[in-house]
Amino acid sequence: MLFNSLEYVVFLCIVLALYYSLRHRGQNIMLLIASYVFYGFWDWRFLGLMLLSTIIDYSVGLALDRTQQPKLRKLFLIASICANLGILGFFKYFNFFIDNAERILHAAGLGFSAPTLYIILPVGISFYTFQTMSYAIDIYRGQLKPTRNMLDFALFVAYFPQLVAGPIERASHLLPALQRARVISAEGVTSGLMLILIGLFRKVVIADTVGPQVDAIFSNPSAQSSPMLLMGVMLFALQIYCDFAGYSDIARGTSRLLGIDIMVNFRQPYFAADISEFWRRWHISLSTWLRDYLYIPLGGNRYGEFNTYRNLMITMLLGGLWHGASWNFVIWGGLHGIYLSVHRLFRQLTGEKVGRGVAQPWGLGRILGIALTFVLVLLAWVFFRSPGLNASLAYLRQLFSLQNMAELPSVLPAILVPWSLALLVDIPQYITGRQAAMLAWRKPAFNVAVATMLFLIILGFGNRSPFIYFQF
Amino acid sequence: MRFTRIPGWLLLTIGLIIGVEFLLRLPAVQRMLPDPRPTLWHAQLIQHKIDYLTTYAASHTVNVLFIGNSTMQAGVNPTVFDTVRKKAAGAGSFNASIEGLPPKGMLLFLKIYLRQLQPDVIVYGLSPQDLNANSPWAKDVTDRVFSSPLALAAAKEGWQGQLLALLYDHSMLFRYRFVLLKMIMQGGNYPPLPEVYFDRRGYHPIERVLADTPEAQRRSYYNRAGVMNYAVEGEQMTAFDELIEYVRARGIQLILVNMPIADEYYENFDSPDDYDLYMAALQASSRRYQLPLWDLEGDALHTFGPREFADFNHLNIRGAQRLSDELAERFNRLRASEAVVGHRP
Repeated sequence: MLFNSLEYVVFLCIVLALYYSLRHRGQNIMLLIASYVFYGFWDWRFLGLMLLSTIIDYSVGLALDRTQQPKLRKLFLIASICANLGILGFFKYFNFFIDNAERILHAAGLGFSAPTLYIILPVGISFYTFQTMSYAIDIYRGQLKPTRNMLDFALFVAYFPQLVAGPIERASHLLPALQRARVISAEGVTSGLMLILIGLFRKVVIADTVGPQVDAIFSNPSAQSSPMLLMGVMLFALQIYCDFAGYSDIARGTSRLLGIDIMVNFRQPYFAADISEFWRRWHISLSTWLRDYLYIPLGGNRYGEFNTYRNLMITMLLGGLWHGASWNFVIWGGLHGIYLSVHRLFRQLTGEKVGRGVAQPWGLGRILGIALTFVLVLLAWVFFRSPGLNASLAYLRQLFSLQNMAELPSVLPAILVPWSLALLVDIPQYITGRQAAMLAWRKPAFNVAVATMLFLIILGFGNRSPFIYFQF
Repeated sequence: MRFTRIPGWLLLTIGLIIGVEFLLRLPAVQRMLPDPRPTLWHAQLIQHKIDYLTTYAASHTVNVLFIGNSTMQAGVNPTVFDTVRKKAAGAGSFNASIEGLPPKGMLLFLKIYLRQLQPDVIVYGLSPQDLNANSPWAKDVTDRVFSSPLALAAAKEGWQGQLLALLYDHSMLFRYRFVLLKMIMQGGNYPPLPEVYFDRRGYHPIERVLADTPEAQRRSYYNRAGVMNYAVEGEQMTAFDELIEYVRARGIQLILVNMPIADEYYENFDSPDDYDLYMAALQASSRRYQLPLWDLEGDALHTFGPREFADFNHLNIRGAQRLSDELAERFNRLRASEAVVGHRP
């Protein structure tokens, strides 16, 4: 069931009607059933997998709480991590690793032929396994007390607004919100509806409209002129942002209607003045997860320069691989790892403090920083979107060959109009720091903005394409 | 809470909808805009095919309709077929195949076709990829067909289709909404549709000859996606049965045709047994529903060679000529043996 479908509108109306008429416990039971129904719409067969993950981490959480023996606690944690990564590894990466092992052994002259299994990737598996894993790790670290209520935990894992494409919530944030009675405020409902409107605008009006052009350009880059290839990558950068941020907005808006706040996943990433700031603004729930559960445990920046760079690269390569079992995602992650390393080195050489980008005042320096970061991110998107390394390099070669540049004026409107529409939403959010910034606008401006967005959504609604991040 | 604002934006939205609806009803405005044509992402010319069928049906009795995917679209030339087969004056055939469509999508479009005509016979050309439960391509195409509001509206499929059809019939804004959105997003431009590659009777002639194709290009013709992890089950098989029952319920005779494939096509399969699975499924359906099954691949007397293929599964003009001839002759023999149309439900 897609957020941008009529089914979801009907589903949400039924859920809200029931939710508002029930008390806290009843609300949680109903939300859990609704979440399983929501997930079952894709493929009910994988509900069992989610239940397995739920039972394992619920039990591990209780076991970790009961014992103080370090060895035993470690064993429980390893069991949880192995189970979750095992599920994820099998369903997402089995064929990838087998194929590559086969190639390596073949290249080494060893005949090896493993069967390729037909494995369907269960939707949302990368999100909920990371979420349940962080629960067990937090308890192991003593940062979280386990819940004894199985139903609350099951709801934490399956909570439908953020189940299939995040944000990847932390138990320390979402569980307490599920455990306490919710207060439905008029403010919350208004801002929730506003977020849903913004999310639908980003997804239906921008991402889905530019998507076919992106598909057409990336499917045959060698037949395109340089301006068309520029359009392809510019529009893909916009598509993936509006698609994913749009999903997150609708998820957060839906959750607000239920009286539950979930974390912000995007903060206008293309306004980042350096690459490190970009990662504090892009897919925040994943980047903070990778920081807390991978980069820091690897040693972070505590054990010398070489180890810091190594940790950065490992984190970004695995972060890339998280997106899918394909080398192009690894290359994309690796590129960002290199960017971050070079940025860190540059900061050290110039004595610049970490995180200066955010605080940097507006001026030529910041504008140049935004432009440079944007170009670097665009280059990396080519590797993310293309089917392989050769295709990416061919795309870039053709792009920089600057062929048929006379076409540029005719291509520009198709780049500028969607970007302008996206910026009309992003700029107020960036200036105010509020996702529902439009609510503070004066009446005429607010009315015109909402009516225009709603009208454009009506034009595009129904031409539904799946959210890009569902495949991850 | 700013509920006081609701009337303002709501009124403005309603005003916009009514205003644009009114404007779109003006012929002058309509003349300025491109036609609102339903398209599928992989088959942008679907409306052309429907239009051609409507035009042809206005001057002819379409008593034979060919359906299937791109292999059928390039494989049967209705003009050749009608020249060879025995038919009444004014009767004609039409190739209504659409590239990429497996049975589930084909059934939806068949519903659209049969809203405007009642053929005596439907000839359904099938290839192995049509019945594979594990083809990601078939799943993707099916998902997108069933996400296409204009296709659902035209077929009046389900409650959504009924609702969308109602909107389509009564609202110009609904009809033109994708056109308007595309134009807005492209700064007033509208992307042109590709050139129509099928003729007025739905046939897609391909000149390329597989035998003359350089080796490097031939390699690009391998396509495992359609037949990987071959299994005949699931939604495409269910839809195949539904399609047969749908056609029979309307008193139309259905003929199944196993389309020819080049020798290299078999290399796409994971196992040599996979093709047998497909044939067994076709034969089982043919027996269960008592449908004629014309196996143009398995019939050793009529083997198609690399000079008759454009790639590994699409016939070129020469191949289509032979296949259309062969189908017409079989059709004549069937008619002669049945005297009247047989196997009617």
